[in-house]
Amino acid sequence: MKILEVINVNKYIKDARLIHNVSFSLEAGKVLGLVGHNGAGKSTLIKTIMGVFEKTAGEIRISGYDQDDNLLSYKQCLSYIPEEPLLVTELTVMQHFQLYGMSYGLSKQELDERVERYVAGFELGDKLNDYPDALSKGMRQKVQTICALLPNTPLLIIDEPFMGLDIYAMDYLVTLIKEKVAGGTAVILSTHQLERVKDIADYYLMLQEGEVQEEGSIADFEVIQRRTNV
Amino acid sequence: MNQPASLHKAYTFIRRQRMRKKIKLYKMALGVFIDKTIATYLLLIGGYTFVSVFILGDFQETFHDTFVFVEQFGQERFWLILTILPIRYVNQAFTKPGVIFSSSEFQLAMLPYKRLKIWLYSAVVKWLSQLVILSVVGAFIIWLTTLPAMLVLAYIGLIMLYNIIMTIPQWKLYQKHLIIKIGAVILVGIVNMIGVLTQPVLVGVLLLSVILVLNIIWGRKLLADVDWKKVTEAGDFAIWSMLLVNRASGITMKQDRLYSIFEKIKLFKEPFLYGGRAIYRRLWILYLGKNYQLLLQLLGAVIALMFVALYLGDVYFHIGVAISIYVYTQSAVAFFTRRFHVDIVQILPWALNDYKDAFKEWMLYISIPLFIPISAYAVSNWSFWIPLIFLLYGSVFLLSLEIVLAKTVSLVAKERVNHFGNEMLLLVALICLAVIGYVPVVTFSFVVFLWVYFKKRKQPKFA
Repeated sequence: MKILEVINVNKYIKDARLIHNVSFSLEAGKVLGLVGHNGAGKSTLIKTIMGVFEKTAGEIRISGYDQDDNLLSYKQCLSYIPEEPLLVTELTVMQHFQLYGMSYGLSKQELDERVERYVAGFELGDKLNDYPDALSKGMRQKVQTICALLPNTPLLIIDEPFMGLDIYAMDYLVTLIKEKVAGGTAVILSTHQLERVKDIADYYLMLQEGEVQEEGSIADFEVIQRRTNV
Repeated sequence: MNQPASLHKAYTFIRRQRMRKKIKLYKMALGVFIDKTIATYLLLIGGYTFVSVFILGDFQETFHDTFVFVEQFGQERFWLILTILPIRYVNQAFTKPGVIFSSSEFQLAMLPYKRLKIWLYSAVVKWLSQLVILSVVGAFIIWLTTLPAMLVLAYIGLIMLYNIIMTIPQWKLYQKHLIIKIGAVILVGIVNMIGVLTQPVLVGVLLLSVILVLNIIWGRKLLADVDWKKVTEAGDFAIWSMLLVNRASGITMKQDRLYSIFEKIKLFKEPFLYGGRAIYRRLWILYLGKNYQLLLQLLGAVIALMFVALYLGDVYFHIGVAISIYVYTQSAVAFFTRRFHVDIVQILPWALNDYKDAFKEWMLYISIPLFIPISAYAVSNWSFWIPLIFLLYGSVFLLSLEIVLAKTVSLVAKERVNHFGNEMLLLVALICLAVIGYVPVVTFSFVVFLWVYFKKRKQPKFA
């Protein structure tokens, strides 16, 4: 069953071409490694899928919901862990979890159970009433990660999944991702840490200058070509 | 021993270089929008319009009655200006220190020049440029209209006088806490109300005297307790935020803001009542709080507009209120839409109706200061119509907010909904409000608008 369908997506800002004719799809319970050099268009593509950037042309559907025709249902179908935490300075850690829970329509019981489990796993139990500014960068990333893991969405997008996390948190996140995948969630991992991706991903898609340069099974993936010939 | 440094040379050098850079940027930006052919056509069209309307046409004769009307009002209400004008400077004190002291001026003060002198140079340059602009505008008015030169000059003189004597109060008020600024706006609003209701000349002269005393008191401690980071940021913003350049480059300059009130109050750390609207209320107050300068400017502008309408006469006041409701609700739309494109909210699914209802509550609370000019109108024009007029104001306001936000919700959700009928209804409501000065019986239309409002509230919403 196709969870994500990206069809001929283009993103231009005036004459600058950021994404050009990108097409791919992702099945339920599969993991796609999105790779490419800095400036290849990975983040732009992710933000376009998220709906944060307006696409210039093309179609994007998640679980059959079209981004242009049914945005609210579309957004309910995906959650996202950004590279840099996007937390609100004036909301506590617990209030962030509540915001996510309410936005994704979780019951109070579901929210409490999941918060309890993830908070213990990421060792944030004593930080629930703290503001993000009182936390280290790694802890803020853990909070953002828990936020995105709270809902069981058909699609989970993770931009640089291990950025700022300590070794234990990384392992715990990998466990949780595998658990989600086993439950049928499709995952996109955008990362530079290729070795990590190789362990989790089923497929890869390599972008260069906003275009798909290569794609296929992760077993076939060898190395990102150097941007220049030097 | 070194010669004493010349501040005049250093300061004019900086200003000249700044001007050159700005001209260069404007040229580049203009190049994006206009080529030589378009520029030539624009010049020709502009020149033709000016010559045909003002020189070849019987402009003065056509608008003779209007000029007589403006002259009469200008003479009758001259002294009311004394109390109205300070609103502008007090309102500006939320975002602008009044004297541009950018990071360049700040760096200049690191060299052997006195900071106070640099401040004075900046102030004088500002006054001179204002004088030039007012003189040019005044000259055009005297040349193109039949208004008496003495009246025009008197107004220019008064505006220029306030430009000068409000410089120090605005500068000092800019440094003060938000509560004091809000207090100042309310105080000036009350003074205006008293002015309208009693003796405008006396109240105006009293306010002028207070301003002069403030100049003496604050002038002695001009550079004490100044938040230089904030001042220089505002200065840089004022200099380099150029609309045309922003448009051409697609980059908008923003002033840095610090907002930490919530961090200091323990109550705000408590988890929300899950499932209620409290979380959305909090998100909105945080967002609106971060944009408080814009909100206060909006309120200030709308209050000033209503006072000007009141100054013109009670018939015009209703037109002023209709315009104010339109401006306020359209600004609300801009705030509402922008919310979904910033911070964590942009990546979340949106319970748009909860966001909308919580936002509407705040926009109603924020509109409370608009009762100042409305109360002034009610007191000075009290009759049995007033309660009915209030009901009309309220119903049109609520209906406008409901209609524009409902439309915005469907736009944010990318739902294809036809809003033509609602927009027409909104237009009719505003027109009804605007004409009650001429046709008082239209006031009873509030019954219809209230009915429509409550009916719309019961309509099914987005999931």
